[in-house]
Amino acid sequence: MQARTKKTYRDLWRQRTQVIAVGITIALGVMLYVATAGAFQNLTVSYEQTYDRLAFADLTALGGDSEAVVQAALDAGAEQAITRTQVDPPMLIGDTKLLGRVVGLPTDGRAAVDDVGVIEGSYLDSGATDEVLVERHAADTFDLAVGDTLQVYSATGWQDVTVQGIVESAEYLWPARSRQDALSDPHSFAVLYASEDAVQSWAGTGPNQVQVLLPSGDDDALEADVTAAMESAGATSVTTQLEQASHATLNEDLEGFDEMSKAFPALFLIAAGVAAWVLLTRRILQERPVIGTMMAAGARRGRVLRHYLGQGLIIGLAGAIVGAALGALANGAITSAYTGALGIPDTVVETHPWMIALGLVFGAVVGMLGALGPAIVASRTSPAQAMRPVADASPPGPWSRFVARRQGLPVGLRMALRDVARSKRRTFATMLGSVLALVLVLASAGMMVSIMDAIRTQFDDVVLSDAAVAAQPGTEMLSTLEGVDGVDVVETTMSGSVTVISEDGSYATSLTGYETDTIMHGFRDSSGEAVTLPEDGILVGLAMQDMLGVEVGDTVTLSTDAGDLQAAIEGFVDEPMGTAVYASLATATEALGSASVDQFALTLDDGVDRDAMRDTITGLDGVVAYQDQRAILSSVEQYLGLFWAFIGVMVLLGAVLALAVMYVTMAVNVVERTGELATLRAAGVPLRRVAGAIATENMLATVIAVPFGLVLGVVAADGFLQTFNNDIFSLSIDWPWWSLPAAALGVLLAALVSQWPASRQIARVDIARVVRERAS
Amino acid sequence: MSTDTTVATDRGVRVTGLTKVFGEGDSAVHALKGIDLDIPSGELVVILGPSGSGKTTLCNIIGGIETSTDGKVEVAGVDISDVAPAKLSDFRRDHVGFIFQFFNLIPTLTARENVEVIMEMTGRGDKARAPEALEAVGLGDRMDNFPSQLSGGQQQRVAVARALATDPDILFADEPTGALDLPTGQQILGLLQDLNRQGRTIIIVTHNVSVAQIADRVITLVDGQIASIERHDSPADAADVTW
Repeated sequence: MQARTKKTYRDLWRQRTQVIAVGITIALGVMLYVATAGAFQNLTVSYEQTYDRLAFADLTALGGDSEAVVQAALDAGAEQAITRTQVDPPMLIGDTKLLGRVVGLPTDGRAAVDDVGVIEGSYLDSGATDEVLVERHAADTFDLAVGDTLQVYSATGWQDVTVQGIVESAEYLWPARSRQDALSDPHSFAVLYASEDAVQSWAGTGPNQVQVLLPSGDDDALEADVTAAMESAGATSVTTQLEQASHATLNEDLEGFDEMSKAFPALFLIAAGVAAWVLLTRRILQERPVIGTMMAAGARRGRVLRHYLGQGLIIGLAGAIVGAALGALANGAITSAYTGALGIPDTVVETHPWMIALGLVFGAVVGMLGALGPAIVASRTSPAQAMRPVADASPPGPWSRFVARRQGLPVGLRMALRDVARSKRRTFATMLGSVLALVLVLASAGMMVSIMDAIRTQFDDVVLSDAAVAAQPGTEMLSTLEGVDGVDVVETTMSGSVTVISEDGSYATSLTGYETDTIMHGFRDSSGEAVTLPEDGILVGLAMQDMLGVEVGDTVTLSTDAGDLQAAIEGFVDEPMGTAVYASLATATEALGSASVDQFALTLDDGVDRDAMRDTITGLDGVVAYQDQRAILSSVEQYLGLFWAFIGVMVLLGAVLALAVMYVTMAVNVVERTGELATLRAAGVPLRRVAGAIATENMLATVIAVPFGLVLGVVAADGFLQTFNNDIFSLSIDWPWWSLPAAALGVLLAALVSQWPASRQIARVDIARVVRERAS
Repeated sequence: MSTDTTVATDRGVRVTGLTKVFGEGDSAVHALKGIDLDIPSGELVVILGPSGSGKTTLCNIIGGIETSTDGKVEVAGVDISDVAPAKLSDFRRDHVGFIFQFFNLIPTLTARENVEVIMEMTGRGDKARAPEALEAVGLGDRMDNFPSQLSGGQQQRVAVARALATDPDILFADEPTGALDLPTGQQILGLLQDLNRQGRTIIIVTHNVSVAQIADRVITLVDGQIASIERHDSPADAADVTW
């Protein structure tokens, strides 16, 4: 082994605790990268495998003559195009009445587009009209098994059907009725598949959808061509795969995951780079005479540079190897946990060698970048200068002079105040560790806070009704519901699917009509101010302003099964979940035509038993569906446990980050001032006072960093959140008063804890050795 | 000039059978090999010896910043032979002061603050008397200067004032002139001599034979053992010492 290699290993061994701290930070960064980026790749592939296997439609068209639209799609280059019928009829599953969805499937073969995968039971028998396949989520929610029976409300009344099989579908990996109902009460929605003939017969209509599959490897141009062709053939709305409700919702999650897989590792790697910089700068300052001697003996600058870069490289690679190994293990665990939690049928776990290689490169680069500055300084060292004793000859700056005049302060505090400015590199590193920890914690906590705030806003300020009821037309349901004990107020509503068309584009969503003085829904603009529902015209979700290029006063076309209606936009509403259209009952009725069911919104008395109310109302003659608007809250609360776990892990990692960086800077602080500390100890100053003085200095640096960390953390959290904002979610952060102080307190506590190893290091300072070395 | 090996002690130093071994087994280094020594209160003693003779180790053990392997050490009436290292800081605070070759001043504190910080952090001494301590070492007009604004001799004077901050019974000076030129070194030795004349016990560790001229007694160590103890009935004045 070459002498300089031995020197490198021994140097690193002498500073092993600091080297380990830097290595751990790098390892965490690389681990997070390999684990999250790998899981992101795996999840993407898992989705794609399911989509390919089940022939998930690339485009879905509504409106027009279905056969003509199919032909137009095929002529424009589509690989497959089929028609099907889809309706949202009332259902009775057990004792639960709900508005479900029935989708037609061929029985003389399998669907070429949007097929289903049979998990239990078997596929529909040829010609069967009383068999259904139940989508997996509905089967789980309602505990349905093969052979069970349920009822579907048809044009001719309730139809008894038997469960032939339980199936999975690419369209309902996330069971959402529409983009506007991405999060809803699972008991309010179920998807059944029946023979195409049966569905047409129950609905009393012909095919109303066209599903299109493009050739694999299709490009945007072909997608645009096929879309244009179908629209020319009469389709009023064409939804891409990216806009499909389930895919769009899951994609939101995946994109957030993608952001996280870049941002969080970056925080750790930056911190590790700075810690390595502090560590190696200290080593080079300590070795100035050695460097000077080597250069005086003729060592070339390049060799000195490489020597110290090599130290950074070793630290970086060591951390990266550990991180990559842990990341590869965590990758599979995260992927499986994710697909398991969301019920993604196909789980593909692959370890990507290029990703591990990239992780190793990240670690090596971070280590070398951290070493670069100190190594350059070392290589430019003047031998004569380096071999002179290092003296702190720098004159006192304005800050030192200012503090010196504050004679009323204890000297220990004055010392700490001045030491903050004494080694700017060390103070900067301590501050950076604190800032990055705060960014990590706040970016994570921001997600939590915003989601909780969105839920609160949605159910406290927007959805003001407690339940929605659908009833057979012609029943005197309004007065019946008003007479139910525990029901406070009942209003008639009307809701249906609509495509909003402007000159710049179209958007498929829902249209809901309310009384203009409704108390069932709160309309609020982007500043939170109340907006009045107009007698004429419509209110539309804020996201449509950009998507459709429209402004208040513009006229758009509302296209529904009942035809087209021109309506003026009277205002935009800002709602956390979904982008919908609202109108007065009169306008909604004009747009949607006669409804297959009567709809009502109700508020309940405070403290009413909601389960009992569900049973009471669904038991009323004529009621075909009941939806508890607040039931979603209980489902959301189930997911909150996962969110808290996520936040907990991130806070823990933030603490590790802060601890690791601060430990390195404090350890270096102690090493750089061994002489001073030994002198104080030799004079009989107790250990706790010496450690306290160092701790005061480090805590001061942390305190100074806190405002910067809070500002950057809030900005980072907001930026992170923006990646989630679209027409499905409109999230914003309204930080609770306690959150920022709590985050600051957490980092200060982490800083305080990191004093412990530093104080142990002070305790280990061998006063006699220091004195002997200096006296010899 | 006279030579003796036993001196009565009151607030001074009594060392009996002192040994110090660094390391173990084949690599063990016997730094001190059974030292017996008495230093009465009020003496100015120079411990002289070449590098590796054990003089700094002896000084460190008597000063309570290092523990012995064997033997008994009594300083200012306190037996520190078996005192735990953590408790030794109380002993140092109450009884001894140190002056080092390279001053070891805290560069971010002024001269006055370098003295005050010891008083404040040990809880011993009156901070209001820090200026007096600096005036006593001739730095009354430079007490608000930072170390970087002081010469080497001035810095060592601050170190002396700092060592006196806790009013120690014994002052240890380890190569106090090692980093200074002759005139400045003479000034520091003069200062130590003045302090001794005021009744302070002073132990100087040095390899500089010339410095030994100012001592009441010179203890020469060679290879961890006392080679000789020499008494000066009329120590030289610091201003007359040259090297």
